[in-house]
Amino acid sequence: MSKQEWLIGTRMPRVDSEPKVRGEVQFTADIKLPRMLHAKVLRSPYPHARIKSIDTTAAAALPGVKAIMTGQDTAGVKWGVFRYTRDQQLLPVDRVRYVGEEVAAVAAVSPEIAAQALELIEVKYEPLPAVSDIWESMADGAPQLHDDHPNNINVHVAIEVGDVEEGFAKAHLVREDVFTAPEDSYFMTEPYAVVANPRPDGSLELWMPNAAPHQKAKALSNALVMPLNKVIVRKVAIGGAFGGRSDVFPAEFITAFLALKTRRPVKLVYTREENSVATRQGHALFTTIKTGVDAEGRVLARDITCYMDGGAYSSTGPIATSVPFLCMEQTYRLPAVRYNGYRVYTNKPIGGMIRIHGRAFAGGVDLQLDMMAQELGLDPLQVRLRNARQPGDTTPTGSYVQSCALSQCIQQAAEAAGWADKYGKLPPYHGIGLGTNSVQTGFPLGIRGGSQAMIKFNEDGGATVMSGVVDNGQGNDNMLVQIAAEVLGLDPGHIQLISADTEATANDPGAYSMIATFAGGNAVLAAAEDARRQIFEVAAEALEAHVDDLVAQDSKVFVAGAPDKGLPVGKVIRMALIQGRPVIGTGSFTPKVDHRREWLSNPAGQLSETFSFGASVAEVRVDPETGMVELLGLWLAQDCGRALNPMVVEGQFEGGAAMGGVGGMLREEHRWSDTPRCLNPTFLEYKVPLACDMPPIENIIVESMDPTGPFGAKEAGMSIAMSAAQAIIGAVSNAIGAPVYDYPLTPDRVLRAIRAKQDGEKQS
Amino acid sequence: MQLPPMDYLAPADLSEALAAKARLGDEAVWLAGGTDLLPRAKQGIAAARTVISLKHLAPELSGVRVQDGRITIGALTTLKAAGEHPELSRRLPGLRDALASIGAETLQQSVGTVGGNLCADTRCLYLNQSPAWRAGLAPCFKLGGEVCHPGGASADRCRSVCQSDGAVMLMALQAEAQVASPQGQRTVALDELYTGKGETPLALQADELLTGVSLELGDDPLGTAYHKLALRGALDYPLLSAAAALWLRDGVVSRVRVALGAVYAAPLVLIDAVAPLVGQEPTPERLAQAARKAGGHAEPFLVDNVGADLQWRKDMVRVVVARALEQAVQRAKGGA
Repeated sequence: MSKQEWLIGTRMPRVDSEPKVRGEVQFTADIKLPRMLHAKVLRSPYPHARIKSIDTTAAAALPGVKAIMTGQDTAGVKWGVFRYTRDQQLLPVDRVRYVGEEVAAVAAVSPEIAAQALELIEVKYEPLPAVSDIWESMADGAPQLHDDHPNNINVHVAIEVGDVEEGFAKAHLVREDVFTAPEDSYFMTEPYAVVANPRPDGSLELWMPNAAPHQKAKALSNALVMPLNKVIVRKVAIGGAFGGRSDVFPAEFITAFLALKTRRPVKLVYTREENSVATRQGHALFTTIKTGVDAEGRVLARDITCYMDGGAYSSTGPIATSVPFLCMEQTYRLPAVRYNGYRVYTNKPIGGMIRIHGRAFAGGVDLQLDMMAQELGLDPLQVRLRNARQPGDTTPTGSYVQSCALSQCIQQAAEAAGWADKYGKLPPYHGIGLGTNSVQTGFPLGIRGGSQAMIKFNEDGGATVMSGVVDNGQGNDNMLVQIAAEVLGLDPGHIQLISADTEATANDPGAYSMIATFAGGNAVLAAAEDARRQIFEVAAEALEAHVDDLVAQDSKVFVAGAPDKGLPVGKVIRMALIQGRPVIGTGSFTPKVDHRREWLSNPAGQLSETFSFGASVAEVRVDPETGMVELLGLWLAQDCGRALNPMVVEGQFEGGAAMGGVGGMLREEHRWSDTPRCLNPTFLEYKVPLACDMPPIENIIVESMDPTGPFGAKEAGMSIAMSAAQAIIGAVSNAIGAPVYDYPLTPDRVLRAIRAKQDGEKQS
Repeated sequence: MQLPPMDYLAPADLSEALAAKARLGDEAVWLAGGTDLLPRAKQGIAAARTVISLKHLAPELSGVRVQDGRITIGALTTLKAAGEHPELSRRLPGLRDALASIGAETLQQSVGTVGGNLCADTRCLYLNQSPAWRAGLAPCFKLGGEVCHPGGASADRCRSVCQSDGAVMLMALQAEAQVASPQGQRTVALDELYTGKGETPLALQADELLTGVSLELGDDPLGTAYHKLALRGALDYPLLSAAAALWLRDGVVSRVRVALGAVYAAPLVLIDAVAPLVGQEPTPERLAQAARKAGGHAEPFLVDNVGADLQWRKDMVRVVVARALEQAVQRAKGGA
């Protein structure tokens, strides 16, 4: 950047912070509309069953019940992210496939009456044999969940680049290890909720925590057979997404259907348990990684086979099965690689995208590098640097890397943590580890890949920015305002934001796949530059100056260096109105990706216009008697391109470390009964870390200044969620002097690894 | 989740409260801090048509008193007030630690009570769930049925677990509970208060109220310690815990009691494992020996129903007992 920014890069307080702190912000569950009804959902108590009949007579007769719906009312309309994965009936007609699947729903005048009505619905089931783990599910003769997927294999991602066998043949050292982890969960602060409001003009307004309003609207428009402009997803405050709000759920379909049926607003609020069981969960993973390296630890070939427990339906299956691999092919140079990812159906809740993207995948890749470094007598830090992705590289599946400061991230995190003084020099059961990762900024999303923005002005010089970008809590609203304010020279308080409203705002990919800043930010940047050009054109005439010499700052337009002789922006706007050339800025941004790329049929070509990179170091102490891990410190470094707002970026780092590392790697896992029922769907038994569990953290922002990101920005935080987890695996394994293959690193797993090492030492 | 409709009474004093409970019997439950009762009521397992709030009884039934070598804690003393009581904290750091480990600063510590913690119901991964979660499961022993879901086909009784932290430490201290009813007061040893039956974990009659707990400090220097295993720094019930109370006379153990928590439906007192310590100097070897024995003795009692690996918990008995004993010895010798 040649020009010095005045607002970009500053620690500007987020525009949404104060109302949130005051408790004034409305989340979906807070919405109250006149004549609003309350919905409740009846769920399957069986993991796999045929629905023989549903009798709603008694429920319908209960005073206060206004509508009941079952699969019979909806003709089994299906949802799937892709045409070829449309395997979930939004309300099943004749078969349920997991405990907690939707079976019927009621709208009543109060939540209590709706709940009472559920008890009066009589469902006759014929229980079917169920499968609860992937091996059982893939075995010949296992109960089949879907007709067209033999051995319950839902998705198979197959990638092979370069000569893998030749790589292994040339390798100085080859290792093969297996890494496992059960399901994990998002535990957004806000449980899922939907409000639907049918309007007299035939349109339907909806509010729900979402990561892509335009995608929700499109899916509902299909399911309800309504024109897209009549299905309006409104903006609402959202309490977290983490990958778990981007898909489409039966909840919004049910709420919309009941609202249309009753011609009244309907609200459905999930319990914490419903949020855990009936939205999405992270996949359980079983990953075999074989890597060959040369004597200096350079990877020559890698072969990965990963089995993922996908639960009952496809969801984002092809993406979820690919992303763990893609993150690691971006992170490290790989001359030859083979990947076979299998997503397997089981009678469990549906697996979706989660910010951690496979702790038993990335964690395995890094731990194995540590182990090989040790066998070769090398410092794992050097091995990371030798393999680290460099700018100008092309990934195995064909993505050009236009900016990358991974090596700097590794070096700076290691230096801050004191790696050189600690690695190999710490006392027993005290260890240090390093994790590195890379994430995308978007995928090829077809017609929804780009973002468009508009900016209009009031005669007082205030502006209204319109963008489809949604804020899930990560600070996207602030990002949009900060960019527009920077370019227009306006105080952020003079900018009103309309966002994530499908009636008012234009197309946008959504706040998932880490694209919000890159696409949405760039679109607002373009719209603001367009508006500023128009403002300058009007002002240039009045100031008798050249457009190129003007600057916009402090709500004024002036010739650079002469702020005293400037015009207030409001005055320029009024001049423009009088002159009949009102200022309306528009802008769009469509990332350059290869649209021929497809998850299964053609996993090759530019995946994402740019990628972010990061490295974390963790230091731990392990109690050798209990296996309990004490996290002594985390050093988090990420190349986010440019930190538009370092305070927001640091928040993302710390949140990522809490979710992926402190929670995801040390505590969090779902537990199951034999049935299988999820034994810990709530905050008490699912061990999301608490503030008191967080270690000291040092944030290290690395800026590679991406050539096409807005002000050089890419993505912030997700790679930390992954690399912090990887670093903790390395640190714990380093502390106990033995690898731990099974995650999360709960004390029982760590103690087993310690014992296995002790047994091995006794035998030898 | 919503509370089911319940009648609510808030009697003005103890006699009024006892009269109300005597009248309503099993249809009513006591409400102190509510941090155990209300979640269970939402889960539909509190089986009460009426709650009798004890809030007006707080002046009568709160506070810590130290008198004539006895410590008495009113049942309605909040966890925070008890744990921060200077005399209690100084004389019984193990109890202080146990009480401080309950719930979280933000809620349970401020409104949860010592009596409530002692009377907290046993817990079960299959029972402490919503009615919707339990739909399709046959009623279990605790709900009057004939099965135990975590126990499986071989279980002939309820396999729920007592996860009270306070009970474990107070059991090690051989505390007694004071119980009131319209017939008057009685005293019951905690050893007798806990039945060990998951279905009915407390030996209290329908018309009785636990009003306080008291214990003898004894003449010899006393060391107490509580060691709890949990995955988080707050909020969690123990996955396993051990409490030790140990009295030293002239460097020799004059008396010692160890209790384990989160094992089965009651705190488990280990008598034989620690008996050999009496009359001996508490050397590290002897403490380790006692802890090893404790592991063996406790193992058959451990119920697999707290959301942690059973084998790990079995292995941890020795560790938590050893740590509790070591710290109790140190404290008895005047250490921190």
